Amino acid sequence: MKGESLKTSRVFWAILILLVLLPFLLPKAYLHLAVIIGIHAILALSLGLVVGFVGQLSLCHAGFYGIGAYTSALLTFAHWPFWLALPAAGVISGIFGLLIGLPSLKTRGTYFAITTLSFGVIMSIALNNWISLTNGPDGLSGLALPGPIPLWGRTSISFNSPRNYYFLVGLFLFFTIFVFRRLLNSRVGRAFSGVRDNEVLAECLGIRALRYKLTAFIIGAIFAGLAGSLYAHYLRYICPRDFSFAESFDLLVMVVVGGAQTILGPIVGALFILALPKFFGFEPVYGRVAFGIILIIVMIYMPRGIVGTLQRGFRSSRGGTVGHP
Amino acid sequence: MEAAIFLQQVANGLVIGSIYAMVALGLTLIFGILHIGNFAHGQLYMLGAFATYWLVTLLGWNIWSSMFAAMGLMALLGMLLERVVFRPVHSAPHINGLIVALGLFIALENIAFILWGGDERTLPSPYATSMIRLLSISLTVQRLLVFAVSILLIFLLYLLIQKTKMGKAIRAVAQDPEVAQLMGIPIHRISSTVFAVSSALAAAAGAMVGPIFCVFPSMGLVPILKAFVVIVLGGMGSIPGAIFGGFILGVAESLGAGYLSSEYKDAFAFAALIMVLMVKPSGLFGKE
Repeated sequence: MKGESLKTSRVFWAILILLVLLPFLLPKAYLHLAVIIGIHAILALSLGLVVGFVGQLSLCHAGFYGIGAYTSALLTFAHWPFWLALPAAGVISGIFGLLIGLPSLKTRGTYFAITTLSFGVIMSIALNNWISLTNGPDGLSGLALPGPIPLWGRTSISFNSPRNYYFLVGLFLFFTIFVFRRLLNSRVGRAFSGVRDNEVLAECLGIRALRYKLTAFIIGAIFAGLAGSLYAHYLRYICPRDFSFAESFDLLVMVVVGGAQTILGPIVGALFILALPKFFGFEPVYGRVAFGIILIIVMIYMPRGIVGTLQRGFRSSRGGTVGHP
Repeated sequence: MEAAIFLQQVANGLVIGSIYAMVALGLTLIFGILHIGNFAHGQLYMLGAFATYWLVTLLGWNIWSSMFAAMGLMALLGMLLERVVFRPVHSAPHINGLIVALGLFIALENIAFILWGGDERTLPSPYATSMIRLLSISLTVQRLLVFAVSILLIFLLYLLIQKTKMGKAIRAVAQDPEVAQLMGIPIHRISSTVFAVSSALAAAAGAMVGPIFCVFPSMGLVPILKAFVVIVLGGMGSIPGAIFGGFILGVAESLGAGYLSSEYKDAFAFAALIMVLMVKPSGLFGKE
């Protein structure tokens, strides 16, 4: 990731072609899973930005996902087109990212984790109890599909099938990867790493740590919001339970298991965490037990996650952590 | 009339507060020794409640023996978890320990769910139905017992920490693990002991709450979150902070639920936490 020209490697092109062909090869049920994995890959990446590059454990990330989803849903109920509601969802989530990040990022470590957890719990309570806005635990149903994109002639791309939605999500995933790579290879990205590795030194060098941590946090919130909108209009039904602490936990598992400080890591994590239970036919409960245990094992033996450890070599696999190299 | 309602709310708050204090105490002890915020502590509370439940309903033991047995069982479990899960990450950056605790938290909750289902069960207790009336406050005897037993256990813990050699060793490790080790204190054994004591306290809290608020796999989430709020506000690692913070939170919540809103009552604690951390990011009594 640092300097490697992944974009021109043959492996990259092979994977890309496979991904494009996938919807024509897979049966519909797997395609549905692929869309969900894609959405969670975007989510996991957005959390990975905070955990891997700010180095802090944010436990409210599913809240931003939920804010994006509900914002998008409510705007489309107010007759906004999906294509406007989507960016609006990102913006609103970003605003909440600012509101929550500002007080939280003044704290560190366990305090930060508990503060974000508190915010997450408050958001969950609000989603469940503010019935006039969110319809409470029953959720919102009958959400609109994204409007068809008109092409030349009389044809258009409509989104009432998983296949086209797959490409939509895929496009957004690539957009996310592109934005994050550019970000992390820029001066801003280097500032992130500096703040993460040695905040005091960074401050001495003139980097205003809080500003950069907040920037990463807000960007993470924005992309989580976008993912929320994509999710809402794919499933066409959302309820507060989709955005609870359990979801924040699942996202964290994806990031940690995949490797927080890489771009590939959270994507691999999302694939691993979502595909595994389906392939073995597990109930979610068993899945959660497995994730908890996997999280423990990974943190003890491979704290940099699958991709992180592969990139660094197995010899030093037990060193490091999610937030430090 | 007004005063009566106020006193009733305060009384209820003290009862709940004693639970928060017990859980927070265990949490702060572990934090003082390992500098890890042990999320999974809430599950020892839950498992303690379940252990008591099964001993009472399956083996027919009386509630006191069941509670003590559950405390013992959870002490053993706590020591096992310390050895297997927390010791390997002890010298790693703290975020590792946090994540490990989170994983354990989720794993234990879902294991309980698989084993026993999500139904809420009431722990049968002979004290749950009789009431006591005192100065216009009425409480079930169970609630009064919760308060009394908590105070007793907290006092015993105080004696342990302040008046015994083990307590001195614990305080030494909490102050400076390296120097303590140089002085010959076996820090792993201290860790084990602290986990055992903390887990026993949590189990007792769960056992006493069972008859009042039911026993179910996710019962540990809210208490552990509140316990974290308490120790952040009271100072992580501070024992008086955990005790007083727990009671203060209980009373504040009870008054808030009575006078402001009872649906959002759980939100008060978190809102208070956020407000305090905004002003003092290292907690009310923190040193960072």
